[in-house]
Amino acid sequence: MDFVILSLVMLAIGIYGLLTNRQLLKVFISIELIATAATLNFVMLASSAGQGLGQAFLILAFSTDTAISAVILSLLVIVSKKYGTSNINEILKMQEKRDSEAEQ
Amino acid sequence: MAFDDISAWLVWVFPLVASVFVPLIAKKGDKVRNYFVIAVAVVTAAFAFSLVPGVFFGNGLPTESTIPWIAGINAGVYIDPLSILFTCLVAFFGLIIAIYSWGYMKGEEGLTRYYFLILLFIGSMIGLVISDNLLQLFIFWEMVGLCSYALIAFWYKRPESVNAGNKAFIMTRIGDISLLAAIGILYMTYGTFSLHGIISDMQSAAAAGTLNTGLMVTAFFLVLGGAIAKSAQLPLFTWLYSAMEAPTSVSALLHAATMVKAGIYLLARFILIAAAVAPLMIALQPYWLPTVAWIGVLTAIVGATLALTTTDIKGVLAYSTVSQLGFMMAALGSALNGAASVGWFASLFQMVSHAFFEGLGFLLAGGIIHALGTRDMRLMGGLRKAMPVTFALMVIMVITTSGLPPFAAFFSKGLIITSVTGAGYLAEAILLYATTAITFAYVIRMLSLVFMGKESEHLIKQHPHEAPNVMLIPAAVLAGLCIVWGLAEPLVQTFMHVNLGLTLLGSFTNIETPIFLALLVPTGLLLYWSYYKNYQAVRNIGGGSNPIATMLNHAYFFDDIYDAVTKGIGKFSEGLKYVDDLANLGLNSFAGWFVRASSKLKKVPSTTVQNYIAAGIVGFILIVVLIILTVGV
Repeated sequence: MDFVILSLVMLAIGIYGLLTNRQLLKVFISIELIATAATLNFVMLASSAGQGLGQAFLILAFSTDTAISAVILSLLVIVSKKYGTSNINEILKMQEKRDSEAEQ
Repeated sequence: MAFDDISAWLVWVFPLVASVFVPLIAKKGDKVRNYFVIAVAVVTAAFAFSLVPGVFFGNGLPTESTIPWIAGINAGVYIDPLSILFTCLVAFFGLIIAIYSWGYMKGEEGLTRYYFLILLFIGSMIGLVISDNLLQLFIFWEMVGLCSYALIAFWYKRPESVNAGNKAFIMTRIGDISLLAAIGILYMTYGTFSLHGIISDMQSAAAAGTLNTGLMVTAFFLVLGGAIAKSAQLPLFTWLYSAMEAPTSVSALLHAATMVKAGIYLLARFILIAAAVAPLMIALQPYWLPTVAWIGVLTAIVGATLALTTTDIKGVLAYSTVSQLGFMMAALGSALNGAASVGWFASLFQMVSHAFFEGLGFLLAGGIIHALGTRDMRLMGGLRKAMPVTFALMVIMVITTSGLPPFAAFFSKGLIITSVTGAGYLAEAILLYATTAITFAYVIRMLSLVFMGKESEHLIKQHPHEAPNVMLIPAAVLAGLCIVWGLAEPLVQTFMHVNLGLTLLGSFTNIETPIFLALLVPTGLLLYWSYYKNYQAVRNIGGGSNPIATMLNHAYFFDDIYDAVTKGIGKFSEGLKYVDDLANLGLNSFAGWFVRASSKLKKVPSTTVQNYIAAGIVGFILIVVLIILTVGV
């Protein structure tokens, strides 16, 4: 059951990263870490149970994950170019300011 | 494959495939694209209704058609009265909305995206209700959630829409996790996702006396969690009100007629599963079914009281939907014997009649919003002269919603109350009676605020005009169905293959009806009196500063509680970040010292990036040292 502990640790690190980081890229890395932890857990449990289904789903999960990563990274580039920063708090502040200006 | 099987496959595959072609066909022009979408909706509806005779004249037992999917899991369709009832409703409503959108969404930007999502939604919603296994069901469950999110946030340049979309997505996600856990438990126990397989495995386990009812009841509670979030029940109902930021056509299709019924479908399906396994049904009776009933009843009364106070015309319809969904839940909770009891049928009958009258309400509200450019009912008034057809149709909607005979909701609500009292839920039945009276009050309030009285200043400025025919005709069709659906009750019973011995006449002569009508009369008189004596009282209901008004204006503080929870998480995260920063500071200064020490050797300028690298090196060395210490070389 070592891999369960490993994936739990990865999950914990990912959540910790999500909670403590404000940089978009770091947040994204944390999310990836969580996703990887889940995938790892999934495939290892499946293979230790001797099921082929886990591997079948793993390929699906990997391909989707890669596609999602590409989209998210391109979005991150656009966002940080548009706002001039990749700090979530600052982006949110700017958005709120823009919204309140739009209301007035 | 038999003809029915082919139809059952195509009815969801066809719109899903067609949705991908919408962006391609949009290149040929907007008109072509609109015709294409309507054509797809027509064909889908044709497929759906071609399934009706097979079920109507069949024996009511489910038939399956499966093909191999991923290693050992089959994909398939499950044809039984329940799934076909939902399939037909979704396909029919998709068609209504495809036509209505032509008028309502005219001249909007991003319509290709809109139509793509609508077709994707129709396909996945039908896929959800016709799936023969839980994995497939879950995938479609998520897909309708995604469509809901994307369509609520359709006007993505408005921050309210985007926030409402996020809110709907996140809140329904809570239920999704709960449903996934339930599916996990069932798969873990029986090793299959198939509905048929689960039922037969449960039956053999029950016959052998090895059925773990405790675990199964847990799974059923988790399923209930999924239904609560999707069907906007207490305590996760606030997303539905926010979802009114969506275009009105979307609200009618997703948030009144079909998507919010996914939770009702899920519970109805699981009650059918339980009904096939007698020990499980008995195990559900002490806790699970009363919980369902109580959640439904409380949601019904909370939704109705909130509908009484909101000033947003779509808000009234949204809270009305919440309240009516509560009625359906209460009916399901009173289905003590599964499909053999009145509650199960009453819930589904109410589900369809609600789709008709609430959909009608939304279609008319869309026309009104178009004409006046506002959703605030306080700015409306005296609209009956400018929009006479809308007014006439709205009167039908009001009568149906309040449950006056002989329109659709009279029969369905009568059945629900009969079922709830029949199950011995006395307190619940009294609350449902109260809710019916409040329902009458809020629809009359809406009618009087929008159509009655003198023409408001806003109205005179706007020069309102009647909605175009392309929007009125779908509404008129729904109004017609509101009238005839209740009278079709015996046919629906035959279709659903439930043998309850209910007759139309019985709905008028049972003991519940006089109480029900007797409650409406004083409410009506009270409203009539307040309308003439003190018109402003109706208008300003919930406008004062007393505790009850504050509570209602805050929607029972549910959103405030959720806000506090998210703020708490935010605070926790800030605190954690502070600790993290301190640790980083220590690490950085240590690494900085290391770099400075090394730079004395190599003359490297000290920067943060290098600090990280240095820290990495230090860490690596530490790990190597640890390995050497623990494992030994």
